[in-house]
Amino acid sequence: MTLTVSRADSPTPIFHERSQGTTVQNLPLSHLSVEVGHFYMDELENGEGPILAQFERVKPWLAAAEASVACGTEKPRVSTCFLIDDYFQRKPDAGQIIERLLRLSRQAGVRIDYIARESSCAVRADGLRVAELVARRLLQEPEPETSTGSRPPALNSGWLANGRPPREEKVLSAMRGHVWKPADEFSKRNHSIFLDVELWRDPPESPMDEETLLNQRLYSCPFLAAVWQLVRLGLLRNDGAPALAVSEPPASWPDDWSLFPDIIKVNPQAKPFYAYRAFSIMPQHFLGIEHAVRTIVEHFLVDPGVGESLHIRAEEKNIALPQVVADRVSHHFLDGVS
Amino acid sequence: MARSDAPLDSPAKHPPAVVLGVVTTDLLNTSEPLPLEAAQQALKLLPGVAADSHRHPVEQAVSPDLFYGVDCRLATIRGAQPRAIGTVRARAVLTAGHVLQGSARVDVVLDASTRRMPWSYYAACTGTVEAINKADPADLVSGFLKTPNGSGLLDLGGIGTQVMALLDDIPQVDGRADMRTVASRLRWAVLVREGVDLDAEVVAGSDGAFQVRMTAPSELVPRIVAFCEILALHQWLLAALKNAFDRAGRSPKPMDELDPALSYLGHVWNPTAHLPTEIAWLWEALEHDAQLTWEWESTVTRVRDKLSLLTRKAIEGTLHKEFL
Repeated sequence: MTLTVSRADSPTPIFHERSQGTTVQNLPLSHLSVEVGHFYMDELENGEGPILAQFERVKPWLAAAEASVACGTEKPRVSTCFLIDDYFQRKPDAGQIIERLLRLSRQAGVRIDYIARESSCAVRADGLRVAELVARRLLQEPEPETSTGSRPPALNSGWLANGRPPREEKVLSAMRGHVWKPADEFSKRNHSIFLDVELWRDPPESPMDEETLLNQRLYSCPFLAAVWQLVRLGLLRNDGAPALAVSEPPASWPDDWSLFPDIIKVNPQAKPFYAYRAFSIMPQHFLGIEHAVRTIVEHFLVDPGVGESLHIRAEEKNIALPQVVADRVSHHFLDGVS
Repeated sequence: MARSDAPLDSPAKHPPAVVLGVVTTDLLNTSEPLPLEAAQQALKLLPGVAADSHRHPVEQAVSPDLFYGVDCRLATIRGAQPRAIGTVRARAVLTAGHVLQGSARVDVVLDASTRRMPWSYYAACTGTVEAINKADPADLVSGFLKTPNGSGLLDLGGIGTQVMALLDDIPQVDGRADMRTVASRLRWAVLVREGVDLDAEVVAGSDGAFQVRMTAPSELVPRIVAFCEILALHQWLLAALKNAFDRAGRSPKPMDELDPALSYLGHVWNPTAHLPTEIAWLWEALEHDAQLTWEWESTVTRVRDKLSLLTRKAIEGTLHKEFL
């Protein structure tokens, strides 16, 4: 049967039901979020000289970022942030470290607007598993020409690759039982740069329930850094609200990192924390980690409603916003100091 | 699905030439229907996003969209099968706490690229595959509808089934449904033409499965998805009830077939319950030709008549025994 009927004018509905689905919040947004340096926890604990030296080298690049921000028809809004490395190492002198950090950055002329904790990128202060919001939205690349959707995707190993690893293949030949096949990057240009990133490590024996398993899961540094980039870009949400929210600073700094809010606004005049684009300035030895971060971000699927809300606002203000999320992130790697 | 306050259909970077979909429908394998709160919990298939739901007039919960990566061939009738790469969008729909659907669909974009792009490119445009070889949109529609499956071809039905399987192991589902049912698959395809009036053709195949072929502007696609899910649900309901009636005719214990069928499905029929108003006329036109609601009502009547007949016989049997 073929039906070709024109649409009649539909009357205005009189019954509405509040659907309990998620509505995406519109966040206040800067044009650019600048991460002004990065230290391992032991570097923060030790002498002040290297900290000051890094901030001094960050300063001109922060100025360059502020001068070149893409802001469409608006006045530029740039916020700065600093991520404290408190996930793998925790010492009980958090308050001291924060105060020293803020003092040295001021001394070097580098403004810090927000301080965040890496631990919150795994599990935030109220217990929500922020890292799992990313883990469950990573999609392994399909194998070329053979992925019809018939087989379920597998990302349970805690590893994410940008291609197929090298392997030995059995061949039906009496002369050579095995043939070595090189690694293959699925989206290579001529030659492959194969990368296999460890996202997390679970305890060796994991017969336990999911809750216990996730409590013991140890996330890798690149994975938490990928969470951090997605949070800065306003792309990671829980029930439509940002997965990590900004708080005012406590009356006095606690000594235990776990008592700190997830993200603290340390500069009352700061522009919004979340931004259309993110720029990170850090020592060059983080290049490998950031390559892994980029690979993770490239495999992250933004919730359609969240991605759309950012695009609509960018379009309204004539701000160029790349479709590809990884293209909203850039870096400057500082060369060696001594 | 998470929604922004923005209009539902924002323009994609490359508009799709064709939209393909498969809706798989079957009974959720559980002895009692899930209450709406349990259904919302069960269909929260992604952390951080709630399931959409309606309480009236028929309880329904809809999962957030999940995405599956594919790199495979698309079926055609005349031309060479193009290779397509990207992500398929799929969701689970649970109606009346008992009828589960896995609904998978994909926008097919033509002439955007000629090689496989970096994965981030596809991740930025979820729910879309790009064909990297030339293809004729009308040929893709016909190929998809006429080739239910084939080696190396996009398997939307398989993806829908995977989404449904996510509900197999959850604590709310006890795995003890009293009724035997067969999953049904409805294939649908839209040839996208901007600025035209919707043109639709619904075909019931020799195997009883329905197919929908449409020509429509892209803004109507979300409503077409809803229409196809509603049609698939009701086609399955009708088939499941008729099958139960037929089985009862052959079974030594006909009550065991009719009882669960009536209590599981008898109250679910309501095709216009969640039908978008913009497309309600399409259902009316379908009813005019196919009279599915009349068929449902007459089948329910037959089941009820049979049940009362069997009950009367059972009572008479008991009385007869007592008199002896």
